[in-house]
Amino acid sequence: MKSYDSKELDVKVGLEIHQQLATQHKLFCKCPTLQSAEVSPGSLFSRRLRPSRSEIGEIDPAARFEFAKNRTIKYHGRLDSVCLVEADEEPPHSLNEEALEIGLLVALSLGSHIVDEIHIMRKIVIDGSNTGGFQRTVLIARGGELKIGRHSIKIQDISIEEDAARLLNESDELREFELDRLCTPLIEISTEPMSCTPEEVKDVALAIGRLLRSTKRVARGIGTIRQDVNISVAGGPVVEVKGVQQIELIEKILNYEVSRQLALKKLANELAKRDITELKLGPIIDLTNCFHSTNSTLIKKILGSSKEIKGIRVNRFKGLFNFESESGFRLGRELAEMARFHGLGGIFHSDELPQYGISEHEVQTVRKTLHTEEHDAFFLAAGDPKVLVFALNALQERLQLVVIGAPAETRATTPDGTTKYMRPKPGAARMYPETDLLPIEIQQTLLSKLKRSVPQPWEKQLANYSSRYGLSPTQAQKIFDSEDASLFEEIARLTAIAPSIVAATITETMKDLSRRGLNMERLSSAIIIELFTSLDKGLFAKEAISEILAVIGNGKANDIGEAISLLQLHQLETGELQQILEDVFSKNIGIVQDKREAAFSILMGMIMAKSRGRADGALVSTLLKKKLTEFLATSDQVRR
Amino acid sequence: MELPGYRGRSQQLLRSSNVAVGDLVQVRVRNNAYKGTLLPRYEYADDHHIAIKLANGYNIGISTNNIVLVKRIRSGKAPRLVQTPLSSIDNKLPRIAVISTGGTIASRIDYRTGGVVPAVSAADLHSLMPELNNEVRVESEEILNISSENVRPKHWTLMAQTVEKQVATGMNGVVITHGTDTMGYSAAALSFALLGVPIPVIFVGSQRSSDRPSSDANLNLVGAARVASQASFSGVYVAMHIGLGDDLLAVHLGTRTRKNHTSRRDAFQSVNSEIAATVKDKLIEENKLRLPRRGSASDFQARSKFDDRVALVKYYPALDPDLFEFLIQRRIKGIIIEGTGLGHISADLHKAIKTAIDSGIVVGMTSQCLWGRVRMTVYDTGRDLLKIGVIPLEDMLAETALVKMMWVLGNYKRPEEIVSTLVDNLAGEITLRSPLRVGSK
Ligand SMILES: [Zn+2]
Repeated sequence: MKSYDSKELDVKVGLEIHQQLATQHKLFCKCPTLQSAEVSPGSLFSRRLRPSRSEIGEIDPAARFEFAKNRTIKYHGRLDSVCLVEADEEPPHSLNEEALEIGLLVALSLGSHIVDEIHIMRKIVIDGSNTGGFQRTVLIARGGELKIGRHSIKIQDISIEEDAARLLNESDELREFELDRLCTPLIEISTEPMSCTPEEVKDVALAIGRLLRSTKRVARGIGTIRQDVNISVAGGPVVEVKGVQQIELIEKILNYEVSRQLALKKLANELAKRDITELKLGPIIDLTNCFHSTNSTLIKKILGSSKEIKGIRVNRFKGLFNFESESGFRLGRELAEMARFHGLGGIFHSDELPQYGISEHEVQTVRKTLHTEEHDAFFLAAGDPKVLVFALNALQERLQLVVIGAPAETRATTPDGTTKYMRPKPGAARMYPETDLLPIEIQQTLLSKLKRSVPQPWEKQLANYSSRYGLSPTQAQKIFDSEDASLFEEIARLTAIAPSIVAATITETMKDLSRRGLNMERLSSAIIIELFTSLDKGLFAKEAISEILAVIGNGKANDIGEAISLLQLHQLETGELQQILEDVFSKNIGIVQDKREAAFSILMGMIMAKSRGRADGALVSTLLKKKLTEFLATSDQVRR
Repeated sequence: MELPGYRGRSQQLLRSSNVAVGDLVQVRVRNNAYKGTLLPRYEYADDHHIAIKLANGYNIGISTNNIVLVKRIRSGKAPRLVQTPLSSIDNKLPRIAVISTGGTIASRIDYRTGGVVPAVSAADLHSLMPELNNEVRVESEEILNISSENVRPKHWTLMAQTVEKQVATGMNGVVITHGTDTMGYSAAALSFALLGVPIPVIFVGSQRSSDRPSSDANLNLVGAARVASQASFSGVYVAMHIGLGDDLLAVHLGTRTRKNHTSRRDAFQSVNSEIAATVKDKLIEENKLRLPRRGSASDFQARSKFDDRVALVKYYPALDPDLFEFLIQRRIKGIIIEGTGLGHISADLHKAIKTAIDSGIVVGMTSQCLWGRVRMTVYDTGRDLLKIGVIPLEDMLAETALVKMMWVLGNYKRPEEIVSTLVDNLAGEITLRSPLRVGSK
């Protein structure tokens, strides 16, 4: 992957890592922090959220924007993981001390300055992801640093906050959320803006993740950690990219976002060259009549569904919708994305018309109606009359900002590693105190106590890990970084299987199976545990692991037992077994004579290996014991 | 130099550093420094921290023990709330008066204290409920600004007189914003004081503070204003949520409603009565309670006197008979007992109650069961109490009975008139028939 040069382009990247904490209870109530992947049947209640003024009397722009969308929010939830607090029907209980302690531990291990008296704040978020319309968050420490090799990463802030509800689906009128995740404690660690390569940024994210996991008190598994990335190019405004779930995507997103911001910067430079410091736009004008006898099937379809067409003139903007950077990025695309965000199908702009069946004559009529001059451009959009003006206003506002390059905004990540418009960047007005809770003084006695349990550095824990389980350093690191570390530990505890086999299965074999396109959801932790306990019992040989998982993954078998019989890994008949036993015994008679009873385990291993797991260990054991006793008795008699 | 909330050490430090709340300050501590806006201190906070708001919006407290230096970077004015200008409103629209008494309903967060303050101007109210701009003209009047636990009978008098005055100006309806804790008492009080009121008088509150986007304030206020301006019935009601969703509003009879939950938005319920009406969006749907209709304003007069020499005694197994002795000494004129079950109270207390009645105190019986009617002829205890002269108050709520006692004592003098008014249904507070199904029971 080609990467930008962070020094040359003056790219600054700040990371915000959000990690769920493994606490017993949620952050402000006594609900368990359990989450299921399922959607609860039926909805519990629905809400309308409206922006409230902050303590300084302002309404946050992001909140105002969300309110304008006028959506109903429906909440689903299970009664055992949601109480009146999550419903915002009861004041929050006191801050979860366990969560605070974990946060302080992390702060101590980063050498951060711990806040003397912490104040619980409300961060306004009225998209429905928080039932109250705000997320509770508390800054517990500032500063500190993390050493990665020779580099030292400066930490900005460490906060504890409540996780949001899980979005199930959304439409223009309705958003639906699942409440189980809401109010789960999170730690947020933000770094100072860094000037480093995308790969280095990824390493920082990885290192912070490791530091968090080294406390052993953070949640593991998919979705328990996610990253936000703040990116600015050449001293431009900071663009916030939300919700990077996989660390592997960070590089891709950074590359995309930098090229996007650069392209917009180039466009701004072009405007400056044309001496345009402020973009002049015409009013919103109805253009529906310009298309009354259109031949465009697209336009016909639009007008047939009682939509209107409106357009706006953009002075001296000719050619700039299509102004293309080296990376192939165009402003038209950015605007189309924003139009879709506001519920429109997209926009048509003068640089691409005539096209889509829209005739040159129609373009001329539009130009006349909008009073464009030679160097002017225009764009038009179709939509429901109610939405259309609101969306065009937003597009007008966005277009005004082209003179500054990439505007400050919040963007969301897409699964393919690009970003898309999400909402305006929240302002300072979004934070106000949680009036239901008092500030908390952090006691020195608590800090002294916690200082004694600051986790060992990651490298040290890793070394311990590899020696405890007899893993190679690479293998130990792979397991330590994987989401399945606790699964690994459990199997190591339950079975006598060599941990390196377990580790290899969990990391390499599973990855390989996933690459082969198998349904990994079928290979649950329970299946993996059953796999190893069965292996431990000698129901099959370790060589069959991959095959067994594959037939479960592709749906041919539902559990280990089914897989074994499907693959004919079934056990040998007693006769066949006796044959193998006799064979092994006679070939190793020397060992028997030499070690006597102690030869049992050696022979046992040999027989099991020879039967390639198709022998019942218990049966082999009985048969072997009998044979050994008889043999020794006979040989003793002979000697006597 | 303004340092609200600061005292002792922190106040001293800030004074000597010559900084005020609202200033952008640098606070240097051992091996670190913070920059932020100096915030006021909470009223009950300790005296050894100063609070600042950082540029990222977070507030933090810094211990005076760690502070080396506080320096002003830039003096600032404490931000002022921006008033939303009132847009022109069609003067043909119905007029309603919004009378505010306090509580969290019409309030917003105060920068200085971090608490909530009332928002009482008509412009404020319109900005709280923009959807009403094309439906009603709101005129506002602030008569009190107190938490509802501080509302006393004299305040009911004030509320009733204010409504009387508003009726005389030809208002189409009145909305009274009120803290929820005692809103049931006030609604009952005005139900009696405003008997025969020709327009709807709607009490409204909010359970979830209006500083949160999920507040129930908007739906409640908008619904209350719609009922006040558009309903065809008159009388005193409480308008609050039904259920946890923000779509349905209940209009409860002022004499029948009670706050039955500490925090939920649907805390108010009608007890022993159907809800009078429901409001969904613009639709007001009336139940079959045969509510009084709107009437003419010309002959309306409030009877707003209350005698507060009353007591509400809840029976409990260890209740000391001497309590009644004390009430007699305090020259109490009326007692409402919240008895057990059908209207009982331990035989150990009968003598004390007899003494109270003999000394001229009016004693009425209600039930702590909340739902149901007192029937004192079923068991000996009840019969004994009846014989002593305790008045069974049917299916009236204890709180309503208490308020009614105050109003009756304030407006009637002759003992037989007091008793007959007490047991007479004036404002829907008593029904003599117990339907099989009432509301949620
Ligand atoms: Zn809960």
